[in-house]
Amino acid sequence: MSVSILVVDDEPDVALLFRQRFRREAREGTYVLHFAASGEEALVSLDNEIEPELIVILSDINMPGMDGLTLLDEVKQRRPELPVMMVTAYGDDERRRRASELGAFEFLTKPVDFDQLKAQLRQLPTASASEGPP
Amino acid sequence: MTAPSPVATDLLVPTGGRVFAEFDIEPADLTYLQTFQETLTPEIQEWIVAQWQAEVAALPWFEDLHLAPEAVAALFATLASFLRRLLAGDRIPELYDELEQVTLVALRRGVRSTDIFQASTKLESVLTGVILQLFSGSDQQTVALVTVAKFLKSLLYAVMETYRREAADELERRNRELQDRTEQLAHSVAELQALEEVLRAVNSSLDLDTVLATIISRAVQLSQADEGTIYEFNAAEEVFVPKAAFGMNARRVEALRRRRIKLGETHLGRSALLRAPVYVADVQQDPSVRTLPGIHAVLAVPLLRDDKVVGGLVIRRRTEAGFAPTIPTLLQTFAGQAVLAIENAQLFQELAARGEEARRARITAEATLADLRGAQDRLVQAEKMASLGQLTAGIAHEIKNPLNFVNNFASLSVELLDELKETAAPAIAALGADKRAEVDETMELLTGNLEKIAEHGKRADNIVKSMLEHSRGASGERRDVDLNGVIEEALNLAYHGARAQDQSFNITLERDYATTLKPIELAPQEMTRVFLNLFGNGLYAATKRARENGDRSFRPVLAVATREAGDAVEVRVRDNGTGIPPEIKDKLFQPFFTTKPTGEGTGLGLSISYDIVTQQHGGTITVESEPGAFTEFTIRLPRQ
Repeated sequence: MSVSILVVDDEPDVALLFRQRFRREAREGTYVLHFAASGEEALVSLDNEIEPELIVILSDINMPGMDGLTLLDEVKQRRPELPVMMVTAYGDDERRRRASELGAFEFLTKPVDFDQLKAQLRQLPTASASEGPP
Repeated sequence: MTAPSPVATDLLVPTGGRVFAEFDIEPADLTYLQTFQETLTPEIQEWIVAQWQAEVAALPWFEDLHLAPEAVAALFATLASFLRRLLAGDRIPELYDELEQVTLVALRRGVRSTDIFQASTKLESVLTGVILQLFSGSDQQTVALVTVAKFLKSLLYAVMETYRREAADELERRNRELQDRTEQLAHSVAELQALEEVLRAVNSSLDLDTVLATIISRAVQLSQADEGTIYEFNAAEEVFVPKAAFGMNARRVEALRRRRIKLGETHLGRSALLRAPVYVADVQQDPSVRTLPGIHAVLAVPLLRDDKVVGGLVIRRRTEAGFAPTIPTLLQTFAGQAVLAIENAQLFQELAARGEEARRARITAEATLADLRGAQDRLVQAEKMASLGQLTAGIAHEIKNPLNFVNNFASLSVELLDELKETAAPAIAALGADKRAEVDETMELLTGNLEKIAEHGKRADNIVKSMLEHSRGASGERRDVDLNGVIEEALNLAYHGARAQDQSFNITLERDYATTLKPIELAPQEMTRVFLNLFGNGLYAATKRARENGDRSFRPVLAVATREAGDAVEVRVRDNGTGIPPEIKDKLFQPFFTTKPTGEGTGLGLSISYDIVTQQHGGTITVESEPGAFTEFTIRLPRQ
């Protein structure tokens, strides 16, 4: 029962890092990782229907072009139920507040604690789970 | 012969009987004289005259009379004329009258009454001698001649005495004149003295009251008045206000003040309108003014400056005799001095006020300048800190991302290496002992290196985190807190933290908390960071000194005190540690400045504390220190 995670970051090595960190989960087929290098790219992926079911978007905030918060806003307008986690090096109150206002599911500061991230991902509700047997 | 009385005062009165009595001329003698006159021929008469003149002129005392030659001539001519007329039979009383009218003019200075008496006596004897020589005839004739001689003597005496009297009168007149002039002079001298006194007062004393009091007292005394007042004209209210008085009690002065005399009112107001003295010899006769009890003469003089009324001077007299005619002029002089005095006092007051104003302005300016300099210094310092803070935050962010990768890939690599070992275990086991040992060693080294990378990466990450605290901004939640509680908590944390690192650590903590400290609004978490930092530094410095100091009696002490300081709260943190050298005191609050060995401190603690205190709380943090003795930080937190 695979689900997808979309990671949005302009830093190419982020993809490398996530692939290595999630290599076991990938091997086991728990998560399928998708990457986008910008907000615009992420929206395109979203429109193209990601398979298998996308359960979360992890997005950087500071990016050239569309930044993470704008992306968050766009995503929330299209898929209000889709959790979006913001990941940033800038853990300041202002960004935290803005993200929360725009409906971010979580606010993570870099460096990402992957063990904690994985625990949080396990708590995420999936469409199938919510549709599960009564 | 009887000497005539020296005081023959009535000789001038031509009453024959008395004159004859005075000079022993009997009425019977006149009969003889009458007979004698009838017997004299003109030639004999002329001879007698010539003889008499020669005899008189030859008298030694005659010269002593110091008569002027024309006076002698006139005297002789007159006497000769009278002698002739006498010898010719003129009547004696008529001669006397004429004598009085004419002769006095001829007789002038230098004659004393004793001289006159001597002269007349001598003359008598001379004449008697002459006549006896001439006419040693019948007894009757002799008696007649003696009578003539006596008469001539009385004539001369009368003439002389008349002159003496006149001279005495003249002398007396002159004496009186002299006395008058002396009095006048004395008065002038008094006036001058008074004026001089007033002038001196005007010039030497800037105290207007003193000067005006001097002026009015002298004016009253000199003009022989009984009282006087000097008024100042209040231009705003247009009333005369008494400024100084003499010879008046306080009640009367107060009455004058209440009177609020306006222009045109009373003698004072009228004199001001007229710009001239107003003099009333007796105000009791003047229906136009209110009766002044007991006052008769009033003299008012305006005080004028450039024709502008600045006040008035009034003197009053209680007796009915008015003021002397010179007094108004005199009073005007005093008025002039009063104007000068008022002007001087005003100028002085203005000058003093301006001086005081300038002094205050200077003090204010100096204080402002000092404030500005202080503010400028603080601004420069704050700006430096702020820009350094921003720079630090910027650098931190730039470093943070690559550092994340370093740390992540390092720990990942450790995992991967473990997996590799697991996966490659059978293959490695198949290797020869030498090769296997070599591979194992390399694997161990690789693992060790990766762990080192991770470790130092973590250290760098901690530094970066600290640096980022700068740019976090005012995030701390603010609330009213008990500052003593916050400090005590931080002190315990710091103490136990230090104990945890070093079991041998020991220090005396001294607490001097203000018991009445009211709650203060601040960000407790932020301030806790500040206190932790300061306590940490204090503990470090004190124990460092204890370590370095060979003296075992040295006891490290960290003292913390709080106190209310007006609209602020003051916290002092003092350690008796190594102290701060003066040359690095300025750098103390700069980021990355540290005196600790590499790895022990980030150099950000005080920098962050500085930001928290100054930027977030609007307070100040200052330091005082003496190397090898103490360091004391003072934090001042204003109440919002």
